[in-house]
Amino acid sequence: MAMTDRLHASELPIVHRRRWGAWILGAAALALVVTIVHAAIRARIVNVGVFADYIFDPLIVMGAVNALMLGTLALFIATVIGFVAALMRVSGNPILVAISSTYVYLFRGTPMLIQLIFWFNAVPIMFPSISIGLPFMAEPVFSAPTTSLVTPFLAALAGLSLAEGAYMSEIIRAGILAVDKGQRAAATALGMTQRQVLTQVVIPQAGRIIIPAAGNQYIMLLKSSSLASAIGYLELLRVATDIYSSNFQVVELLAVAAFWYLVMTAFATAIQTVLEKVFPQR
Amino acid sequence: MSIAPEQTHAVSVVSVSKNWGPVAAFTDVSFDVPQGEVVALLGPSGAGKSTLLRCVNHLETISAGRIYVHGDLIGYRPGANALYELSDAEISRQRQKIGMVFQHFNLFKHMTALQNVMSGPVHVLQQPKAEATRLALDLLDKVGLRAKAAAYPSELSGGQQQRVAIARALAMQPRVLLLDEPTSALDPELAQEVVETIRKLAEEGQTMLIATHDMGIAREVADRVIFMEGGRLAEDAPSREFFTAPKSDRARQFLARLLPAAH
Repeated sequence: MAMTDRLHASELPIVHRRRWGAWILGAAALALVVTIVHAAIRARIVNVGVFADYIFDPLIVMGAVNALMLGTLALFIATVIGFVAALMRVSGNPILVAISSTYVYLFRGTPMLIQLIFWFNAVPIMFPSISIGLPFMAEPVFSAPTTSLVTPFLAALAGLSLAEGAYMSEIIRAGILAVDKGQRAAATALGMTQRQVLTQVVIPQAGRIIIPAAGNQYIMLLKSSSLASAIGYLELLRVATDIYSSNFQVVELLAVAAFWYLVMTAFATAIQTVLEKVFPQR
Repeated sequence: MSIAPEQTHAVSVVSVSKNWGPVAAFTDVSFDVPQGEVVALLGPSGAGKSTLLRCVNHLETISAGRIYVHGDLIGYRPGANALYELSDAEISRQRQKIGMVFQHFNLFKHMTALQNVMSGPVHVLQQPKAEATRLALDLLDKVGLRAKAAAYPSELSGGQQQRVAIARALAMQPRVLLLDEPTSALDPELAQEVVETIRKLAEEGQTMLIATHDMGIAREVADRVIFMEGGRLAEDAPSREFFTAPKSDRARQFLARLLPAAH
């Protein structure tokens, strides 16, 4: 009996178990999404005509460009600050470690909005005028009241960069720590100086490790540029707010702004994808 | 004050001790490696072999004693009352002539095999790229991996990675090659191709100090065996003598455990 069973089994086709549960859940989720979208369309939340009128409005586009510029510049400055802070943190020198950890604690621990408003208001009070002088010259080469220098743009850039620098320093530190100790030992044994070990081995490898996290931070920064509206910088949200406060088409203008944020996010995602392709982790 | 060892010795280890805080890794170890000799450092795990190797190129600092490589005091400058640690740049210069091969290969993951072999000459010796490429391809040829020049370490087998690592060390034309358990992370089959590469170097007269558990290397490639146990140098004998007539009880026990059939 058993023998014939085995003989038959070798000739029978194989049928795999269907995953019915997943299909049922998928169908339920799709039905939910359709219901919500249908309700939104029926209620005419967004007046498509108004949306189309404003989507390429010169002021809106300028606001989007300003937001992209602010977020991108802030990312670069934050990366430099974060790199220095991360190196201080892993240096082993207690003074540098303490300074770096305090910086991260303060700037990661307070809302970005507070920091932006702080730089816009506090710096001109702390330093009423800024002068740049050269030795052996009686008159400063350059002197100006600080209020005229700390524009909304600079305050926003400083605020975003310093706050983001704290996050980036932790990301970069994690990247540096993720580089295998053996890699450093091998570079050192070849006769590389500590600087060369860093530039030839640690940074190229840590750089690849942090690309996904840094891409995430870039997207977050592009959206956080909207915080600069609070100090009067003409970025996307500020422009949209100014327009809807006069024509009361609130939802349409927020949708226009959201559209451009999505475009920026797609741009950042594309850059991240390209970087991950060009510098794969091996 | 400092007694310079004979210039003919590639490596001189003079009364060296290494402590990890209160724990001694090894104590009062002394031996010389003449130019062209292959010395195997044997002993049970935890005997301090790897740590000793890492002291020779100052990857680890010593707690007492001196280490000379071709007459250069490694890592320190003798002063009136003490040895003063050299600067990063000075130690790096000393390491240029001391090659090292690691248990886990430690090839630079973001570089191809060719770039790995070129990394020393290009970045450390500032050699022109064309010249370094030629040298690196020759060395890859020598370890039988010229066809893999463009492969990344993750695309190579363990044995291939270790052979590239050996080529990378040789590219600096080291006067001494330190090998830290070069076959321990490999399957016996792959270990064999690495052993063959090391044997070829030995035949060419490359001075080598090899910490190993591989009896093939110790018995067939090494000229001499230094047996360490419990942080002490227990026996220092020509390889043949060590395996046929070990003098110390500890070496006899060690061999009886490893080679039950031979005794």
